[in-house]
Amino acid sequence: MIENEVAIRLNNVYKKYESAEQGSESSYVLNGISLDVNENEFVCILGKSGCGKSTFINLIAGFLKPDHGQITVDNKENRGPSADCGVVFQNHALFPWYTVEKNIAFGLKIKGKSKKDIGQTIQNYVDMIGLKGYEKAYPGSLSGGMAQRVGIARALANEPKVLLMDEPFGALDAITREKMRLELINIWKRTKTTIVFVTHSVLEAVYLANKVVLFKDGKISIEVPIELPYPRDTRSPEFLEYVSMFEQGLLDSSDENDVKMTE
Amino acid sequence: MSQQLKQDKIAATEKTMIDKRSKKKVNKDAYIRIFTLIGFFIVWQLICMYNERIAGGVFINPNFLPSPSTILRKAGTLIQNGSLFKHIMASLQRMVWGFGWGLLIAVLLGILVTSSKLADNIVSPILGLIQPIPAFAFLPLFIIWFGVGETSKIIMIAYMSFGSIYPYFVDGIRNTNPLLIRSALSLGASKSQVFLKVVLKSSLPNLFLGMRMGIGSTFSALLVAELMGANEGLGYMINYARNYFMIDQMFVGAITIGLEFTLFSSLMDFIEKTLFRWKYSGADKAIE
Repeated sequence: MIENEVAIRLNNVYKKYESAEQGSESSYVLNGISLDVNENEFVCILGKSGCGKSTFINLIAGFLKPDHGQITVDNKENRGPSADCGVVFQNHALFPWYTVEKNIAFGLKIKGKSKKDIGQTIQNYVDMIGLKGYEKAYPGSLSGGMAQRVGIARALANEPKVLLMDEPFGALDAITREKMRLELINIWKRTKTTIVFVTHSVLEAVYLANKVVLFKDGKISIEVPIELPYPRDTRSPEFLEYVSMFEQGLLDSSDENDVKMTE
Repeated sequence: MSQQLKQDKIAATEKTMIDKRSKKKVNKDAYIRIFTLIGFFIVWQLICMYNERIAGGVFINPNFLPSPSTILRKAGTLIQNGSLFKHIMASLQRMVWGFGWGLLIAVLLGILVTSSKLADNIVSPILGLIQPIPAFAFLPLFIIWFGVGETSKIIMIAYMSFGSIYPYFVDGIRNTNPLLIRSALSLGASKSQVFLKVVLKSSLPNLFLGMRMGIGSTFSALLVAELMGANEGLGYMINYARNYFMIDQMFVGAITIGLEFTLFSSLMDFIEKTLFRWKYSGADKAIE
């Protein structure tokens, strides 16, 4: 297997705020971003609220178009949203009128998979996310953590080349979040999907990623591989060293008070 | 282990006790409601009887306010000679056609307007122009244009139900959660698939809300159209009874309309509950 195949490439990407005035330098929410994400890599995008993390995800997913620069996913440029880029949203975004299994089957049905295949896939993923017995439940009756797991399963079942996750655990309680992080690492190891994961939690980023990219003022300020074996010990000195480095990186900006260092 | 079992048992008995208590409460409420209804008719009957037999009609001319028993007797005659059924069917037919056309046009126009900006720019100002005019103002016009026959009545009913359904439907389409559209797109859905599987599905509850309102306006339109000129139908039956001073028959007509309306509302309730089970799965458990 070739490890260094590039899955996502951003080349000098600029994106303005929607309401920005013409010409002013600071009006860019993304200010010249260049980044390569390799296949099978787990990249965490770290940054404060409003630093362009979500815009970054929306650009890769094809929901937004860059003002300058190119974004290629799987060597294709200028695509709209497609099944190549699975997205897990902050608030699960499940279809409320479909049951759990129909939500998971949504992308597969569109691809025209056979009923038997779809049934098998649903079963696999329902088992994986531990929601056996909830196949016929509607999202409205699920807890936040359960719904988010279905959201992840729905994106994974479609076997996207790239999985984009926009603060997927932000709305969960601490214990569920802990479990989900472990689960996500297991899923990633099993499926070999390329993952881009957005978060504002330094701990989460260092815990999950094999590369952490720190965004500040629409630019990449730190891009560091995390060379620690999984599962990671959050109390080990190496781990804490990474954490303090990124915390320092976040704190370097002028407003030190409202930085969220941990959850 | 046995401790756990004991606790489970206590919890279970507590739960059944709560269930029983809430059931009792519901039963009590239901009894009061039924008693109120029965009481209403009994009081009505007693007042009429007192007025007619003992007071000799000094309070009110008995012809003006027939007693429930007189109305029931009248209904019996009308059912027996088949005229009530004939009028119900005539009204029902008009309603179904009028409502059906109104619904069809509202849905088609709603889809057109929300999927094309040009269509929106053409249709919306015209609708905005007509909308403030009370629909009944058009009835005489419709009669002149389309004659006193069925066409003008059905058009009137269709116009009224369209007016109720259309805004709700368009609002439903426009308020589709953009996040859901994005998530469908990222799962590989095409534009038409997004429309069918996300936009339409999420606007359906609103469409049904509009239809519920539409049934109300359909009944008003039906009545007014039939009162203005018809030779069968419930509105006609009431109007005919007025001409011959048959107050009891007027009551029979009004009560029949009320029953029919309730029937339609319950039917809508049933369809909504089965179609939108996903909506109620969460709300049911909100509070005990």
